[in-house]
Amino acid sequence: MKQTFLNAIRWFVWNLSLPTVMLLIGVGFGAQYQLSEVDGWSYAEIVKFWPDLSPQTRDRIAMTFDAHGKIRHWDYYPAIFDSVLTDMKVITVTDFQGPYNVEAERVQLAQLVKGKN
Amino acid sequence: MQLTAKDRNVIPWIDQIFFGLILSMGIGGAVWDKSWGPIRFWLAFGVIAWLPSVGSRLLKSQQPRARLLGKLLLSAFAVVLLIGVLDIADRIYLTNGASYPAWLTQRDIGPVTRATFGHLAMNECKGHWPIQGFPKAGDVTVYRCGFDWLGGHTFIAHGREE
Repeated sequence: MKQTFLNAIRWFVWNLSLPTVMLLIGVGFGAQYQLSEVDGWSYAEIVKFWPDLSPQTRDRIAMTFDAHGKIRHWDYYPAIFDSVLTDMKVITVTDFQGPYNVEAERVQLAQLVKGKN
Repeated sequence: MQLTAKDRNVIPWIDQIFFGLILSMGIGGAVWDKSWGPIRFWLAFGVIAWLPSVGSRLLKSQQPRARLLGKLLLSAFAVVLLIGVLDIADRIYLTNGASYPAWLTQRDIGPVTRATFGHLAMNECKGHWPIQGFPKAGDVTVYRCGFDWLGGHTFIAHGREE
């Protein structure tokens, strides 16, 4: 019994350890991206539309800010992005790689969120 | 009973790397993208990339039916490869060409307005990223949601983004 178990472990190590490690690396990269902060343009878009956003969307954004002090990709898409889009019907920032400083945009949004409370 | 050396690598290293790549890109990409799309794409890629190997092995078979199946698999691979090349050519032309054929677009969405981008993002392009507008000759803008023609949607519009 013990030998069979050891053989199964050895078989796994010889035949499936490499795909497993590669899978974990891939999942790690994906998770790292999801937990990282959104780009400056995402903040800029919310800041621009803030006065016209619905209370529900503002609450959603405020909750994310309160929890993490920033907006992560995980929280942003699709929940916040779709809420903003549903409220506003437009996206004005089409140059996603534009000159948006993530720190400055985050501070601006943080001030708006603080003003809400 | 101990495993012998020949039992060790039942799955050859090259296949392990291949499976690892498909798993890593598919499932890692699904986490990255928060969608099932990458899993579907990389599974399809894995099956297609395997066709030449399986097909050429079958061609060496003694069985006529197996050889026929091998030919069919290799032909299928050639067709998929051709479609892939055309799909890449389309992307290069869309990005760099001065114009873009209207018959390759899904439909004409009329004049470009401030709401065009948002309307696409909420409707036909929902979940298809990136959404990009490509200015073309004759005051035309071609919108593509998704990267390539096969996997995305392409629209023609008139005028320019603000």
